[in-house]
Amino acid sequence: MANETATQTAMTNNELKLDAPSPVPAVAPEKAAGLVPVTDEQKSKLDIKVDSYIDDLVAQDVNSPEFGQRVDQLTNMGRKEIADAAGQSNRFLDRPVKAMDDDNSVGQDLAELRRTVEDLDPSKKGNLLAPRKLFGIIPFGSKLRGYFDGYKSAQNHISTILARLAGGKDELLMDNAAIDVERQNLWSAMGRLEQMIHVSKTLDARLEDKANELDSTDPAKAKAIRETALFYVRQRTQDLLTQMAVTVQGYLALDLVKKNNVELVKGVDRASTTTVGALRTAVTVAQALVGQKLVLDQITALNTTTANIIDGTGEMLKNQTARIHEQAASSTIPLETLQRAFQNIYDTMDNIDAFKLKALDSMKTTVNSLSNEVEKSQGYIARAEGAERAKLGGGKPAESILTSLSE
Amino acid sequence: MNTANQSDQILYEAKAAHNRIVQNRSIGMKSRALKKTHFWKKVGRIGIAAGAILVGAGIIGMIINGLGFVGVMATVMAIMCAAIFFSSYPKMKVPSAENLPNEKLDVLAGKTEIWLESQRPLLPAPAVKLIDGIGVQLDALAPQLQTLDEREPAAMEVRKLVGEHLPELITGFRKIPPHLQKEPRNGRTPEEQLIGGLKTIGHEIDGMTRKIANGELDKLAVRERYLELKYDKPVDGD
Repeated sequence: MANETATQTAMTNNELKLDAPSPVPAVAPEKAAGLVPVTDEQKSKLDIKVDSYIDDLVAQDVNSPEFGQRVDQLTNMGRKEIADAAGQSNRFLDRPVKAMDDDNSVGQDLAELRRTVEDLDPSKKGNLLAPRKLFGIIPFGSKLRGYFDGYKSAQNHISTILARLAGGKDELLMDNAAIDVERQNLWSAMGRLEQMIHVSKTLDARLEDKANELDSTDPAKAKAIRETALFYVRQRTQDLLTQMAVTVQGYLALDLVKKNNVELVKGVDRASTTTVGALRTAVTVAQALVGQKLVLDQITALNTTTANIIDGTGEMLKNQTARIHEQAASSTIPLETLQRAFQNIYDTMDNIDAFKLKALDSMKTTVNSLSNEVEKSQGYIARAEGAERAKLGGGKPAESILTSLSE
Repeated sequence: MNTANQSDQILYEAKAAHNRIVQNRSIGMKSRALKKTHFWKKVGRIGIAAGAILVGAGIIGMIINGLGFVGVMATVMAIMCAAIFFSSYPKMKVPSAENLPNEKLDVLAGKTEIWLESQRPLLPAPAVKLIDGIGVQLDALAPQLQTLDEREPAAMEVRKLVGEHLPELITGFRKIPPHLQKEPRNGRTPEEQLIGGLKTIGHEIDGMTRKIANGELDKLAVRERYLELKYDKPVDGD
C-alpha cells in the first residue's frame, strides 16, 4: 500500500507543466543600442577611422566636388550592415507565423491520438465487469474480453500516430536548430550594426566639436559641416538605430518560438509516454482480469524507445504491473488503474491545448509588433536605397571606410 | 648588322608567339571546359565525315568494280579536305556583349569568361591582370550558379553584375578612342576608371559567392545543431 502511494505521489510530482513564454515587447530605437557589447579595442580602431575621415573632410575645399564626395560617404554609411540585417529580418517573421499555424502536423496528430484513445477509454464503455448476454438473456462470454480485443485493432493506428508524432518532434527540433543558427547570425549582424552605431555617434560628436572649432576661423566650412555632414550623420544614426531595434526584436521573437517548440516537444513526449503507458497497463489488466494474453507488438516495440524519454516511466510501469497482479483478486482496482492511465493522457493533452492557447496569444502580440517595426524599418531602407541610387547617377561610387566595416 | 637584324627578328617572333599563347590561354576553368567540349565536338565531326567518305568510297568502288589508284587518292584528299574544313568551321562562337545577359545561368560564368578572353588583347596591361583575377572568381562562382534558381534575387543580381555591368564597363571603355584612354579628365584617366570599376566588380563577385554560400553554410550548421539537440543531452535551460 505504501508502495502504491509512493508511486502515485511520484506521478503527481512528475506532473507536466508547460509554460507559455511571455510576448516580446517592442524595442524602442533609443534603447536598441548597447545590447551587443563592442570591445574597447574595436572602439579605438573605429575612432581612428573616424578621426582620419574628419581630418580628410576638413582638409577639402567646402565648394569642391571632393567635399561633396566625402559627404556622400556619410549617406552611405553602414549600408552593408543595414542591408544584411534587413535581409534577415524578412525571414524571421516567417517563423512565429509558421509556429502559429494550427494545421501543423503535431497539432493534427495529437488531435487524432486523442480521438483514437477516447475510443478505448474504459470509462466510456459502461460496466465492463457485467457479463455479456446474448439477446439480453443468455450469458455469452465477458464484456471485458471484447473490450480488450478493441486494442488489437487500434494498435496499428496508434503506433502510426505515435511514429508521426516522433517525426513531428524531430521537425520541432530541426526548427530549433535552425533558430539557433539564425540567432547566431543575427547576433553577429547586431555586433556589426552596433559598431556602425558607435561610428556614427562618434562622428556626430566629433563633427559637432570640429564645427564649433571652425566657427571663428572658417565660418563657411563650419556651416557646411553642420548643414550637410552633421545632418546626414544624424539621419544615418536614426536609420541604424531603427534597424537595430527591429533586429533585436526579431532576435527575441526567435527565442520565443524556440521556447514554444521546447515546450511542445515536452508535451509530445509526454503524450506519447502516457499513451504507451496506458496501453501497457491495459495489457497487464487484461492478463490479470480475464487471463487474456493481449499481444500488442507494435506498442511493445515503441515502448522500449518511448518509455525511456522521461526517466522513471519504465520504473513506474514495472511497479504498476506488479501491483495490478496483486490486486487482480478484486477486479475493480485494476480497472481503476487503467482509467487513471487514460486520465493521464487526457490531462497531458488538455495541458498542451491550454499551453497552445496561451502561446498563440504571446505569439500574436509578438508578430504584430514585430511586423509593425519591420515595416517601419523597411521604409527607412527604401529611403536609403533611393539616396544610393540617386548618388550612383553621378560618377564614381565613393569607396569608403564608412560604407562597410569590411573595408 | 646582319646578326643584329636576325636577333631582332627572332625576338619579334618570340614575342608574337608569346602573345599568341597569352591570348589563347583560358582565364578560367569554365571557359577551358567549354573550349574542350567544343574541341571534342570538332573531333567527332571530323570522324563522322571521314567515316561517311569511306563508306561512300566503298559503295562507289563496289559499283564501278574497284576505285583504282586515282579513286583511293581522291578519297584520301576528300578526307583531308573534310578534316581541314571541320577543324576550322563552325568556329567557336564568342558570345557578344549584348547576348550575355540572356545566357542561361549555369553557363553564364563560362560564357562571360570566353567573352573576357576575347576582350583581353584590347585592354591595358593592369586591366588584363584584373580580368585574370575575375576569371578565377567566376570559376568559384560557377558551381553555385548550377543549383541556383533563376527567380531568386541572388540570381538576378549575379546576372546583372556578370552579364550586364561587366560587359558594359569594358565596351564603354573600348568606345573611347585609344589616344584619349590615357588622358586624364577631371583628374582621372579612363584607364584608371576602368580599373576602379573592375576592382569593384571583382570585389562584388566575391561578395556574391559568399552570400550564396551562406545558405549552404547555414544548412550545415543547422544540421549539426539538430544532431546535437536530438542525440546529445538537450540543454534547454531546465
